[in-house]
Amino acid sequence: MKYIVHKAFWDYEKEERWLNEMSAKGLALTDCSWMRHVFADAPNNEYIYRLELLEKLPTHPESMAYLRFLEENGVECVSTSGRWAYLRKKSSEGSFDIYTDSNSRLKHYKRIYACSSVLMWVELIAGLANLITGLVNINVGYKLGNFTAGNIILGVTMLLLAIIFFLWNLPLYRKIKRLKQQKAIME
Amino acid sequence: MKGSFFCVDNYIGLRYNNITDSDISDGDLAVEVFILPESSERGALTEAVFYILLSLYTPMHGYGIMQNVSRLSGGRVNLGAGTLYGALNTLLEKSWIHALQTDKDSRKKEYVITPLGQTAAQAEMERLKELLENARQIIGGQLQ
Repeated sequence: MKYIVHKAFWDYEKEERWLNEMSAKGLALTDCSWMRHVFADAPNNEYIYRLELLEKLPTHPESMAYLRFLEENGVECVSTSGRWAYLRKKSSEGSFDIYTDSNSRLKHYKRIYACSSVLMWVELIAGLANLITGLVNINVGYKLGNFTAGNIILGVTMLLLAIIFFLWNLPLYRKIKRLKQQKAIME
Repeated sequence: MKGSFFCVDNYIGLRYNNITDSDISDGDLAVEVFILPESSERGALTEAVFYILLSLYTPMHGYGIMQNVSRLSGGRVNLGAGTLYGALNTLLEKSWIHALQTDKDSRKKEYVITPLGQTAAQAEMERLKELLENARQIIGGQLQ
């Protein structure tokens, strides 16, 4: 039987945890596209799930070589969504982590952070641009046009979004900072 | 000649940083020379990489390396597939290992250490010896 659950996550580790909780209940993820998760019946805890943000799109030869390498080592890629790969391994084969030393873990976290902080920057810059245009327009006596109110409202909205994205990214930023501090002392 | 000789698996290597013509004269025995980068560039290898190099003194494929490293470290070091992939690619780029030709049917590629890689492993062993010696003197204690 197929089960479909629509659920959105900002934090990929929360999504991993949820997928593993579902797996423990006997529901194994078989496909995923953005928010749409598809599950199938499976023995309790048959699979351990991990998510990875690939460096390139899954169709890129580098990504394909990497996924093939993972497959040769017992890691199955059930689905991809954008650059995100949904990976799983049989729990009978032991523990499953993709990145085990701080160098590679940091690299992965940074890749994810770069991707998600882009949204924040876009909103910040666009928001400021709109706000400044609006304020300048008021100051020069509406010489630039009659859209000032729209500009300011848009600008403020975008800045608010930028703040929201910033707050959503904060845990990851802290994680990276902590890992970097740890690296100063040990591997 | 300045530098130190070492012998690894019948390979005579010269660890040296600057070789000029005046160091080599007619009649000298031809030796393969590995110029290692300056010490500041060399640095310490990570545990994972060192254990991978040690594993590849015998030809091995990816999963075999993971199991071997776990065995060597008594279950302490468990390589993730992603970490292993990154490390293997870096080692290939540095020519410290190379991939063996496999038959068309075999999907698993095997890797093996190169003489250059053995040099690096040897250098790392020297570094670890130095650390261990100093630790023994200061902290004391004998390893079984």
